[in-house]
Amino acid sequence: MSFRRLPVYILADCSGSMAGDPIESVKAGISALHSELMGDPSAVESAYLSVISFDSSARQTVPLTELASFNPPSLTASGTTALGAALKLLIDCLQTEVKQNSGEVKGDWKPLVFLLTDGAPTDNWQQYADDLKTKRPGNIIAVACGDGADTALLKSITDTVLEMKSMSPNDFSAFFKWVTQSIKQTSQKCGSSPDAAAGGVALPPPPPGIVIVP
Amino acid sequence: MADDIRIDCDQVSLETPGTGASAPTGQIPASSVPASNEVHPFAINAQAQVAKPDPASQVADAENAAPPLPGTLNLDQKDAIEGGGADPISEAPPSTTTTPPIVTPLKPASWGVVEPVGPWCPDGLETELGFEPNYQNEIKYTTEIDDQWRLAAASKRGRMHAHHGTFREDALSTIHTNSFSFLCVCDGAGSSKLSRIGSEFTAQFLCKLVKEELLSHEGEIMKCSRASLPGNLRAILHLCLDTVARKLVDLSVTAQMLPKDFRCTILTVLHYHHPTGGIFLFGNVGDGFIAVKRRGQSAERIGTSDSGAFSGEVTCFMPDPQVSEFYKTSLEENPPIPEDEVDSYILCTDGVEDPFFPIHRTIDKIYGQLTEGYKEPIADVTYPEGQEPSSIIHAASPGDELLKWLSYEKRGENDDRTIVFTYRKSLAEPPIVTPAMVEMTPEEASPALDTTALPPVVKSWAVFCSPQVIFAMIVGGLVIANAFLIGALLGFTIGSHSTPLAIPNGCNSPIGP
Repeated sequence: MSFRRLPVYILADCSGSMAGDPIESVKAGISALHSELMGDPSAVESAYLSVISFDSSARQTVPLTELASFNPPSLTASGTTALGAALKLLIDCLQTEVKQNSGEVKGDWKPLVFLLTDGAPTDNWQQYADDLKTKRPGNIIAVACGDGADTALLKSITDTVLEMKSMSPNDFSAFFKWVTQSIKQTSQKCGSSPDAAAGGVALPPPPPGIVIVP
Repeated sequence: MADDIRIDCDQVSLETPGTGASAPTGQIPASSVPASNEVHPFAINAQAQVAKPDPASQVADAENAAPPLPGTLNLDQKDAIEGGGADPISEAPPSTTTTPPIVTPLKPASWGVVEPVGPWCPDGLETELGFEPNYQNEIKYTTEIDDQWRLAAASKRGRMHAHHGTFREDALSTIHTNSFSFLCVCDGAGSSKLSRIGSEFTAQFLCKLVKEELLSHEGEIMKCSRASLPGNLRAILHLCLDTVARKLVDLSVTAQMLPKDFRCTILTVLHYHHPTGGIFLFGNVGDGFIAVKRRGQSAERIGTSDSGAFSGEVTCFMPDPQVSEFYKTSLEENPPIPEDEVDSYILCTDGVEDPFFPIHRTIDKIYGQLTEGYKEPIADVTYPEGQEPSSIIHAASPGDELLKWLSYEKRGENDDRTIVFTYRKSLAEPPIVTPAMVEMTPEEASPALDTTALPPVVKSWAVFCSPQVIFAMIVGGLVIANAFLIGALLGFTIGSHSTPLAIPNGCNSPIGP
């Protein structure tokens, strides 16, 4: 059956520095996000979720999956920060999993990508960042968690960078609630959208504790 | 290159996610209103929450399990953490049970139907519109245009707007005089706050203005040549659209908003009855489509849709600064079609285009459904059982049946839907059938001769006089008789003088210009 999907990718930093509360909060956040989206019929019909986790390497922990079949992954934190591998994997997934418009097929909505990282990458990432910045295969929102994240580096991947200074469970929870609302708002848009042509999507304002990096 | 993402800091930050998109004043969050009994095939189960695992039992399990690794927390305990809540590990009372938690699988939510709340138009703006808006959730009507043409129109609020209690954003308007028909269908842009006003204003005001201009120039138009007719009509349509665009910008200023808050797409068809022959002109800005069914040919789409690489990426809307150029270009690039070539035509917003995509492959089947009724799904588009539509052209009320046709279902297709279907009345007329052409059974067509009541002499003749034998004898007799007649005529003419027949002037040339 052919229908338009809203692909959503969550890139989760699972390096050693995320151990403890942060990784548990990410897991809880993804679980809460799934639960909340299941309460929105437009998200149920269109949102497809994928989780890409990265530590010393990157892997697609959950392939692009419709909401009703999505199982929140079990994540653990250890190792280094292979952000480059994660970005490369993201590029590959966007190419293979997302349908573009053609003369015969109505394509997916432009994907939403949420990237969370708390530190500097430990592999080669620049070329993949440049690729994403110039080609814009998705609407990417990068979130710098804590003091160790480099917002300038994230700015080389996407113009939309948020900063979460504190990495408390409350802040992660509020962040994932914002992600949920962003997905809902995007999945509810129907009909023509000038934002999609000029730039992409309009998202709700971030919660207290998370600021937009100018 | 412009940013892809706009974070709208004008919105009120939502404290309780799950209430849908940002809710302007007067809108009821969907989750707070009881849903109707409307059942959706993809999510028909009632909303359910995951049963939260008992923190107490989880603490007990943790105590019985292997000790956690240094620097980590027990995963089961942490699953119970709510954002902003207290740490259940430190506050949970000791448990005496070892029953594992029961987790109910999440059930997807179903669609609701909520009446729009609040005014369709902001205070003070309605008087500026200059017309009575049609903002009902559904529109359906039939128009007898003239003795040849009939129009059926329908528009339906989409499931998304119905769930969130917001207004339909598609709009349509159609006008008819003795010399022309003008049809306009518009679709409000989803992210524009007052696009419902933009689309309704554009459709109604454009029709009103086109009618005024065409009537005021009717004398000149009727006298112009066939060659100059399309250009003259295009100029008038273009001028009218420019005026509507300016008026819509003025309206936005009056409302203390931006022109982009009123964005919409446009589809137009002008059918002009000219002494040199009727003609159709087509214009479009944005997505949606116009299709024409020419006599004896397959249906075809007019022009192309502006929808970009990803779904819904329209590049120009009414009243953007470049709309004038876009519309003018479409009028020029969509070739005019002579009236006598056309059997029917339709205008549809993308609420119809998207489910039946790609239109160039499905348009013939769509026409089949409109003329003959639903037989099978097109492009995975289905109807609830028992609600399949019948033929529009043969319906007692074509507008009603067309609204029924708009009630199709397809996953992810929850936009407003609008279609205007204009067709020759002759398509709906049954073929003329004489009594002799009424279909008969083989026995009725060749009845056996009943000879039981006939005298024996006649009976014996009856064996040879079955209908088939009699027919063959008659034909044979006629052939023989004609042969004698032709021979007699030939014998007469050979012996007499003959003169050639006179052919009236022009009869040797083909009929027609």
